[in-house]
Amino acid sequence: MAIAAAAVSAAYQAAAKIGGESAGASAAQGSGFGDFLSHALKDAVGTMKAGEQAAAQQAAGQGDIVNVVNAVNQAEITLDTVVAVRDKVIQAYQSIMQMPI
Amino acid sequence: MDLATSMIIAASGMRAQSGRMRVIAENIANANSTAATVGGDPYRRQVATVTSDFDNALGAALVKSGKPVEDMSAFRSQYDPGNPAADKQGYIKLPNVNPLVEVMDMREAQRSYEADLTVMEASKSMLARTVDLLKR
Repeated sequence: MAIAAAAVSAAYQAAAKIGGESAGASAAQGSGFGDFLSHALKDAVGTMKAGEQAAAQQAAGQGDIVNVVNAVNQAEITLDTVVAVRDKVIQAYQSIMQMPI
Repeated sequence: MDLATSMIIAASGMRAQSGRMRVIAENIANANSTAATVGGDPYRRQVATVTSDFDNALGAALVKSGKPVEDMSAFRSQYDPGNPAADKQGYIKLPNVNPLVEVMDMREAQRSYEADLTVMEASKSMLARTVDLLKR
């Protein structure tokens, strides 16, 4: 679950970076958010895979139902966090793009 | 993260209580198991043990179900001369399982499991509602 926390803090950092450097390098902004997003998604996929693995083990008759619930729960929360942060950042980006100049 | 850790702790409690439940199931199922041989001992009641186990990686005290120990109290004895396991006087030894005690133990395990479930539910909803803050 440290993953979700790291993802959130990374998102805040990325958002702060975008806000702070809006006058500066525009190329760095895009790659920063892209990096963050791919990283966070990779983490989320990793947690999802752990959940899937636990579920498969349970289906095969080994493993513990509690482990499955835990793994799937964590995967769900991590994915939820990543999706929420992505939506938020994209929303902020769009409101900047639609700003009348 | 603390909330995720509390979910892992609650999960360890649930695992320990299921281990306890397994021992209780054994006891109840074997409440009338006599010895396989004449004069032998019948099923001996098992007592589930639950110990605390500090997880260094997590920095939290988890619960671990230990190896069940045998209850060394005396067996019940019953007059049943027709039973193949009966001794010369016609008595058979029955397991030292008291169904009433087992049912009480089972209730306790059940309630502890439910308490852990509630902790898990609460932690999850706290996490989910925090993430919900991002959504609006």
